[in-house]
Amino acid sequence: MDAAEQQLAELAQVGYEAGFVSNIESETVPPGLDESVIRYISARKNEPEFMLEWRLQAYQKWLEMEEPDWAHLQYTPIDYQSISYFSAPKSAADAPKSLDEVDPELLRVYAKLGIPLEEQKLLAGVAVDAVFDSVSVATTFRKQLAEAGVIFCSISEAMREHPELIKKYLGTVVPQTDNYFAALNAAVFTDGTFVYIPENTRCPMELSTYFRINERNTGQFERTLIIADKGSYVSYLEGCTAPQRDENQLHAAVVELIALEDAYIKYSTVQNWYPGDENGKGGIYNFVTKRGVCAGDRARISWTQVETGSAITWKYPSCVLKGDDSIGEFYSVAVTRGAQQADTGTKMFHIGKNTTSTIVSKGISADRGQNAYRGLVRMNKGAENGRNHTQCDSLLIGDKCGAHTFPYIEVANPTAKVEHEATTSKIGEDQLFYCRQRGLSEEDAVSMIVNGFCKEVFNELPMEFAVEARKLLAISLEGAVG
Amino acid sequence: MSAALNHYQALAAAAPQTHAYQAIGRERLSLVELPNRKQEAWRYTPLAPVLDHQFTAASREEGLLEPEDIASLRVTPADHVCIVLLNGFFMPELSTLPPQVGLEVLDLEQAIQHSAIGIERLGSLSGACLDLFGAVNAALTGSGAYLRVTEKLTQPVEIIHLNYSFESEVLSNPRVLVQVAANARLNLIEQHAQFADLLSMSNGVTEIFLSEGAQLLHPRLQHDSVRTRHLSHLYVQQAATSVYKGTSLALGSAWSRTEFHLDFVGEHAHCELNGFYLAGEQQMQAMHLDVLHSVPNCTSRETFKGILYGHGKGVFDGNILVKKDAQKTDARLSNDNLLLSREAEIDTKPRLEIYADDVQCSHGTTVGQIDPEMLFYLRARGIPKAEATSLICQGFAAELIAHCEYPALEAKALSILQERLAPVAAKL
Repeated sequence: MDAAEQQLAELAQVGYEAGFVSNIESETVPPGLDESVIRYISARKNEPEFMLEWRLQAYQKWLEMEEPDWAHLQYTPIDYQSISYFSAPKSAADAPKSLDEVDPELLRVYAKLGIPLEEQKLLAGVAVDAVFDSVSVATTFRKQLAEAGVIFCSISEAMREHPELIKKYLGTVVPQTDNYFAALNAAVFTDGTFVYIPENTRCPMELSTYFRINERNTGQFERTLIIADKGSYVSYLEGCTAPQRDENQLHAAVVELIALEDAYIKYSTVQNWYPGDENGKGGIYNFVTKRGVCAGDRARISWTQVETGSAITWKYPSCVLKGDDSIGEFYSVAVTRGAQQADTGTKMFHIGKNTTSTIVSKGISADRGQNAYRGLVRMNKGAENGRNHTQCDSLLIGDKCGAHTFPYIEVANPTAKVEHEATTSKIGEDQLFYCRQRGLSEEDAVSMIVNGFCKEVFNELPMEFAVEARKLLAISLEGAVG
Repeated sequence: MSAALNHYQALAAAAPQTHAYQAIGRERLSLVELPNRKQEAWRYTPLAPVLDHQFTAASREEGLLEPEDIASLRVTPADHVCIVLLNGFFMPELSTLPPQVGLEVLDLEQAIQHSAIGIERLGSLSGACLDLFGAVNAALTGSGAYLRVTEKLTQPVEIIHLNYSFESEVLSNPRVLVQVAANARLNLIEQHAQFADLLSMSNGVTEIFLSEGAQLLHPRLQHDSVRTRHLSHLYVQQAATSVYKGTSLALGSAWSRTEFHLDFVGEHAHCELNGFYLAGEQQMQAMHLDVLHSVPNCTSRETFKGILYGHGKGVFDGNILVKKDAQKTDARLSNDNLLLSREAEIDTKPRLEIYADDVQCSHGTTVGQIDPEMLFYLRARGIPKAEATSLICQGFAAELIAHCEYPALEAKALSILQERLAPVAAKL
């Protein structure tokens, strides 16, 4: 046991491997938030007039709103006036037309993280819209996508080039005033991704964005809007990692998905932001609003997330199942260790007939990590034959961690069927014994058991992501068992 | 809405002062805020039915009922101990109180005056929660029942709560204190019985203390008139190796909410909480559980079931909290619901909050309608649809009702259930 404790202590000393600060000159607005900051952001982005008004409306509403405190989280209050709301890498002023024009320093940062854009061009057929701080600096495979009619660009660009789509869809799933953090995002979001898949089109490749938080003291406010028109399909990957720093960084992103008739959107996330030191100091505050609406009949939205990073995670990817026979899915693995806290789950709103939803949530807590599943399944009056199955399992490693389950189930239709099951336990002694009997070290045995525990979720991830997720999980739990 | 708060404060100020405990309630009343839907504990409970009425405080009314009126309500034999609380007041002339070795029964008011053993425990469990109705009960309760058990009793003890008054819209605040000494045993049967169809409100608080190795079997049947509002707070504290088995059947009332607060203070104790609720036409039935595992090696089983029809609304909100040191806790929570009509609604929230790692906890919830295959099976055997539906519902409920372990009470509950379900099943 002593040796294990020592090992744990050593591991706690090991810094965050992806943590470093790169020195790129960037333009940053001084900390603080008022209308002039919003006007500046909007002007800097060359946004159409309606966007500025939309932002200001959101800001006014945000001023009247209160920060939610119902989550099972404890953190020092956020000082919204100490955050800088805009930071653009300088080289973005005259945007690079190709990779050759990208600031070589930026490329080196990606290389350090193991995301070499050049290689990715050749490999896997993944197009990357990389977000470095707040401005998209490199977009690849645009041509190929354009041939298929797919629009894949930064949301600022979409505002200039496809204002009709923005006007029609932005804020329809997550309204400006949806919640405190969504309102803040609506007021100050600086960039993000826009995807439009035309009718009956299967997106020729998996779309992916790597988020990167870099500038000191800047919050990152991303906004993603994905529209899948009738009969289309898209798989979108989102992965993130951030450099080490001392102050808590606020991240309040909004993701909106719209799936029309027969469309299918698959949204996968691997989140590995800096979790802070052993006391949680310096970690990312991640307050994200993600919601998708199955607007048409037989539409389908699937969320898969692997959450291993951040000091605070507040995230409930949801599905509004409006269309008849539409499907919503949520697969999640959330790992908390050190002083990490996660309050995450999903909401499934069944509105249309014969709608189905599946929720599989796996929470792993180690050290002093606190992991809460919070979910809502709502069957409206008209949700004839609605079906939901929810399974949330929690694994506890160590006697100082916590695992909590807060499911809300509201059923107003007698033909609906809702099932919920939850279990909480530690790794079975018998399972461990079995593995060790066969010559596996304790660490390997635990890793294997935990991987098995999460398998249902990993199976939902695209292949490259699944590999990364497994690796991440192993690293995240290294030294947690003794 | 603060009119309601002012109203209760005024009631408390006007109430006759019979004991010091009331002062604590009055003080608390000045601190509490009105329950509202934004509070997690009241999220799904509609409050208008209780807050929109200006109930008046009940007072002791003698000569209103005859002992014969009680005889028809009892489920225990006539010579057994039976305590009658009329509008919350202990009525010796209506109660049956044969002396029994190992059992002490007193009017709570007298117990306070005579400093009966353990009376200082009064309010020590309920006082932990600062809520409006708990404070109202403390401020207004004038009487109630005091029970102390020191032996293994073989005969059950029955408590019958009645709301019946010459006045209208009466608020009663029954209070019960139960202490079961080390290795003693009690079977306590409680009924909230319907005597007349009156609009009234019952706001009860029961505190139960189980010493080491004590055992309490506690079936409760609530079949108030469908115009009453019923609120009961049940607090149980369990010492080492004690066993509590409570089964609450909520069938009556227009608005009913039962809160269970269970706390383990000694190791190797076991608790079983079962509940059944039937919410029909204009009914709202809510069950709230708050099970606290603060010491190691305790086990708890919570099983709740509900049938909802008409415009009935059901609420289940259960929380199991396992504290850091409560290793080897084994807790299982389940909630199953049967929806029979389009307008019925169920909101359920089974929560687990766990801070210890060597535990086994689970919860499960289901919401559904009658399985067509079951119906087909019965109809294929010549049973008409209405009867088959009723049978399936009864089977669903009977499993839970059987936990009462007192046949006369079970039979009563089943017959009420059958009576209520027959017209519903006929219409389906």
